[in-house]
This record gives sequence, structure tokens and C-alpha cells, in this order.
Amino acid sequence: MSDALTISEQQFERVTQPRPAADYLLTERRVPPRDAGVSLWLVDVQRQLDAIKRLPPGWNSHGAPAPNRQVVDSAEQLLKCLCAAGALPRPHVNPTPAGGVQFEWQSASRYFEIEVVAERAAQYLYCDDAAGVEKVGEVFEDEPLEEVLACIRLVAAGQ
Amino acid sequence: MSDVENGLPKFRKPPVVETVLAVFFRPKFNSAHLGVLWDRHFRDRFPNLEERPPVEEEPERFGEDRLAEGPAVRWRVMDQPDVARLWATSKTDEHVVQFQRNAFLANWLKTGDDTSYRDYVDRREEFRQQLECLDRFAVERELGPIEPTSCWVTYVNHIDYEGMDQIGPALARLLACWTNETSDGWLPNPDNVVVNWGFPMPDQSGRLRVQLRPIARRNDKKEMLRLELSARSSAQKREIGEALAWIDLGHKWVVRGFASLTRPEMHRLWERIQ
Repeated sequence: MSDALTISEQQFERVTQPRPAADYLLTERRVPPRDAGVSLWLVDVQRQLDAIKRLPPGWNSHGAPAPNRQVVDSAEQLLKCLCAAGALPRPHVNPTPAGGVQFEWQSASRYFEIEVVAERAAQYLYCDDAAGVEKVGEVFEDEPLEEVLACIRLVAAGQ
Repeated sequence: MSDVENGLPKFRKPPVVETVLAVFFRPKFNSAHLGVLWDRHFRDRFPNLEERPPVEEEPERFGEDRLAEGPAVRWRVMDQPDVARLWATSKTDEHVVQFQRNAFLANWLKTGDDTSYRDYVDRREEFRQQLECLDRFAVERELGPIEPTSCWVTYVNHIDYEGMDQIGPALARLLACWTNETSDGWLPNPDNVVVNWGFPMPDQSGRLRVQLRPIARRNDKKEMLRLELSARSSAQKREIGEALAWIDLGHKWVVRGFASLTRPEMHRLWERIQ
């Protein structure tokens, strides 16, 4: 447990000091270097999101409202948080008729989409046709993204 | 005897100095909510208030990810500052409650040699009432009910020993799995040992983390061994009742884990009665 949570910790001091990070050891390099490819596609996707923000009302010829800028910004933050967890394949990015943004990943039989439906809320769908699996869920701001990441990795593993 | 303690090891003089029960939940509260919550429902019993940085909910990971470290990746929208954790202490310093936007924690501290051990059944009942108070508050404020995502049960033990030259033999007397022997006797006794274990719980429902390390008391520099057992659930959305049921499971793992790791000779010293 984090020392900051316990009272007893404050009344005692450590004999042992925390071990300094052993940056000089190759074997201590715990975090794999981030895939440079991620940064490249993230820049591209940010450009796409900027373009989505500039879409006018009626952009889909069916009277859709202009995308909500806060929701698009929030979608960008979501993607950055996902990328912070490690190398991910590039998603397809689409505006939605409801004013949100959707990211999609697809492989041979697996599909995952997550739609940012409000500034702090998103819904997702995972399908694996070969395994007959379909899963839906929702995630809100400040919640762990472990399940979302697991779905994206499953799709990536099927590519 | 209550159901939650039925059959568990019990000691008259356990070396426990602190216990913590904790539930993390979907983020609910902002700073104003936390202040009102403390003022209306906790201030009388916990009048001394401090602000501290929030604590990260670290998910227990399994399979290939089990060696990964650090907090969960979260979706952060960058236009809001962090909400502080409120740390509220009772008048006697024996109890603390901690609130943050996505967690509630309750600590009990043994404040003196004559302080008797606070029984788990009492602690659990008080924690249930406090958690339900949070839930009612959230519903009244139209924030929706508390939706627990993970739980922690932590016990801290302090165990006397004879100083750093003797830490190896002390561990051999304390731990059932430590012999303090080397293959050829060439090395001297260690003067420092830090041990970390992780024991997976059934069905990947969580993990018992155990850490042992030497410490020195601030006031008299007396050296002691600090043995911390912390059962932590995996991340999963639950009802409050399910969270409390997991807390019972975590308590069982802490108590049985403590008895399992330590030697019967030490159990006699702590006056084991079942």
C-alpha cells in the first residue's frame, strides 16, 4: 500500500532508502521505448480531428449538427491516454451524426469501436465474429481504460 | 463468533499496529462535495482535517501483464484540476477517514501499548455504515449511487528484533519460508532485507501483497520489522454489498496469509487462541 495512506508510516522512518532508479543498467530498462510509429499516426489523427472540428452543420447531407468542439477535444485526450499505455495500431476516425467522434480498429474477424458521445462519456463495442463474441460497455472520464485497451489489443493481435 | 471470522486464526496479542479498509469507486465527488460530506456527516467524530494529494487506484494485473507497474491508464480531460484527498482524524488520533473523488478509506491505528486491538467485525460494521453514508449523500446530491470498482484491506504489523546485525536470524525466527542459510556459509548475516511477495487469489479476484522491511522508530530509534499485508481486488464494477463481501475475502487472506507466513513459535508469543 502506498506509504501516504497509512498512519503508522508517519511515526516511523526507514532504515533502508528507496532504491534509486538504475538507469545505467540495460536490464533495468523497464518501460519499452515507445513505438515511434504511434507518434507519427497520432499527429495525423490530430489533424483529422482538427478537420472534424471545422465541419459545418449538415456535413453529412442529412442535417447532422456541427461536431461539438469539446467532445472532439475530449476524444483527442482519450486517444492520447490510450497511446500512453503503449504501441497501438492506428484507428479509423469518423465524426458521428450526433456530434461526437468514433475511433475504429478492425482485423480479419475482430472489430472494436469507441464513440465519444459527450465531453466525458464514451460507449464501445467489441465483436469477434469467429468466436461469436460481442461486448458493449461504457467508460467515463477518469475511469481506468484497461478494458478498452484489452479490446484494442485483441483486434491488433488478429491483424 | 461472526461468520466473517469463523475459523480464522485469532491472537490475543497480535503485532498489528494499523488496519485500513478501502473502496475505490467511479469518480463522483468534487472538492465542494467532499467538504460538505465531511462537515455534515464526519466532522463531529473526525474534527481534524488535512488535504493531501489523491491516491491512485492501481489495478491488480494478471497473466502477461502481472509484472507491469504503476497506476491504471485513465481517460483524463485536461480542463479540471485534481481534487484533493481529505484526511480527517478523530480526537484520539486512533481513527482516520480519507475521502477523494473516487475512493473512501478508513484507518485504525494502535496509539499506545495499552490500546486494545480493534476487532475486524466492529471495523467492518463501521466501514459499512460510513460507505452507506457516502452512498446516500451521493444519491441525495443526484450524483447517482456509489459504484465500487476495487477494494483494499491492509494490515501493518510491527515486530521487535535485536538490531540490524540480527536481521537474518530474526527473519528465520519469524518467517516459515526463511532459513537464513547460504550454500557454503561464506556470506555474513545480512544487515538489510526487503522482501516483497504477491500471492494470487482464486479466479484472479485479487492479490495478497506482502512486504517486509526493517524500520527505526522516530522517537527512540528502536529497530523493528514492518510486515505489511495488503489484499487488493482486481478492477471490476460491483455493488456496495459485493464490495463488502470482497473486503471480507481480503480480510480472510490477510489473516490467513499472516498465520501461514509466520512460524508457530511466534504465534505462541502473540498468544494464538485458534
